[in-house]
Amino acid sequence: MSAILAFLLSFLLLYKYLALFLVMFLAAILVPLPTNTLLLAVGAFASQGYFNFAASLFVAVLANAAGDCCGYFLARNYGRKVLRMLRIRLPKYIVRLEDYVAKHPGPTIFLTRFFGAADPLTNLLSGFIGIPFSVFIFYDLLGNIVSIGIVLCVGYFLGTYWQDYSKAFGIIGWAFFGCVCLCIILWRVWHIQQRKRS
Amino acid sequence: MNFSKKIKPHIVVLLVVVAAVLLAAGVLFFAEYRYARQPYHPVEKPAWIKALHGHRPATVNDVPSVRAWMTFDYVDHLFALPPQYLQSKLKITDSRYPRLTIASYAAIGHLSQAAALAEVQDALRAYFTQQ
Repeated sequence: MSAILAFLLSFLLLYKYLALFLVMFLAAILVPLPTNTLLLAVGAFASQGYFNFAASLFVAVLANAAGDCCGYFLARNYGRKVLRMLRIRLPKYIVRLEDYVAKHPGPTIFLTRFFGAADPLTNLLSGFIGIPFSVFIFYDLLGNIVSIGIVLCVGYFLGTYWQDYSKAFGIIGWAFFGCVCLCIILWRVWHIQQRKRS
Repeated sequence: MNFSKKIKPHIVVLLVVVAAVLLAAGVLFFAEYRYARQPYHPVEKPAWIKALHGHRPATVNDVPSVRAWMTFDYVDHLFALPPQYLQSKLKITDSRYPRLTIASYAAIGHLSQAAALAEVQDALRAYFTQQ
């Protein structure tokens, strides 16, 4: 177990919901923290009666949504200004990504809640493009409730054994991410071939 | 007044999800509340709650799963120990007990984490032997 994870677990046991809020909030604003393993642990602590399951879900979703909103509003209010100030021109692939997110904001925001690194970037992009806040917060909350709820439930079911499965859970997460990437690539290839034929 | 036009579909989905989460939490709380209400006449937990919890009470077999990042408060809770048992057994005088991690206990006593962990595990085994 890494030193940072051991420190965060101790922090969690000492300060409970406050620690959970802080860790989830920081992770949502681009600080790389092992939140999935921590949520798995919180689920296990809830099954042992040391944490309350519903309160943990509420605090984790609230903290994640608060962090996501910070990224969204920062990009919305200052994103273009900062780019103009630094005289940075957006690369073509970012412009294309912008178009895609603008066309399909809901599924993009919802699905990226399941992938740690993509989550804060989508928040910035959503704010940058100017996706309506009501749409952003709706899909953000929905995605957070489902993704955080799933990890907490797995921890709850594993109970005392969560430490044995934390590595396997990480591998399953990456495998899922790989499958989604593969599906997107295959879909793109199929789409390009269809266009060529027509 | 036509409500179907005013309420957007994503709001309806959000309400359904929130209602489902609240309902599930409510059922779970109710079952836990009924169990917790009878501390002096303990009842067997229903099978579905046991399955949901997915763990058995910590016993002497779980002693090796104790880690240095755990607090004494958590260890007491996990093994259902009397609150002062580990404090007296390990002669801990730090005022932060039980909100003290085993790693901090090692640092205070100038012990290695492995040695401190072994002390705690021995104390736990001694407790279960006494029982």
